[in-house]
Amino acid sequence: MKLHILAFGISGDILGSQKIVFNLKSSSNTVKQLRGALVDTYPKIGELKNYLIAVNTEYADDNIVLHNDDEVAIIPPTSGG
Amino acid sequence: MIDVKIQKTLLDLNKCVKKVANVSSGGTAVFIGTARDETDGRKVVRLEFEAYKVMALKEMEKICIEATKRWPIHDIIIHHRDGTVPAGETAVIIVASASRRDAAFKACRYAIDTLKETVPIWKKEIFEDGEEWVSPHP
Repeated sequence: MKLHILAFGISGDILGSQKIVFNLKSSSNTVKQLRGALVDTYPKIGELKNYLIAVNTEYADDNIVLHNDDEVAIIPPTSGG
Repeated sequence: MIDVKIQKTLLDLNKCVKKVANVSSGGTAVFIGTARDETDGRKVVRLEFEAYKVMALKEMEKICIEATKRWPIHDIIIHHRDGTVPAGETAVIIVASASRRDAAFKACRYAIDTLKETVPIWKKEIFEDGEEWVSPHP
């Protein structure tokens, strides 16, 4: 399936872009599997400490099921304020 | 009243305070977060904020709703900057008002502490000799 990945903060530097289209192979459909696939493609993502994932602007647990065309954000530890 | 905003222009403290002014609100607490000019001895020239704006506004609103559930506050405002913020400028303003000061102080404190944890906004410190994403858990 096709996912619209938004990469913020340091994750944007790792992906080389703030916005990419990422194809997740058809046997995978959870946030956990996406995390694995992202690390396969961008090993440095695996070095980030505890980054979160948001799906369609809501924080998403590893077991959340993804759908084609979902907007998925990589959320490294935030530092607003 | 709940009011959340993310903007690239200067934040206006007076406007925020006026907005919550109400004869029934005996206590108003204000938190102002300012871009510091140094970190660990290195001179910071400016901050560059990046926000996942749609989600950040939603999370800011959640914080305000939760604060009104926890304490008897009347109004709460969270305004945050986006983009370039030179050292010395205000990065965030939080205002909470209530009949009495205790609820106002607690809601204000809760809002800034939770904002730092859950609101998808990031800052990069631009030093005289380099730049770095700020990590809350270095």
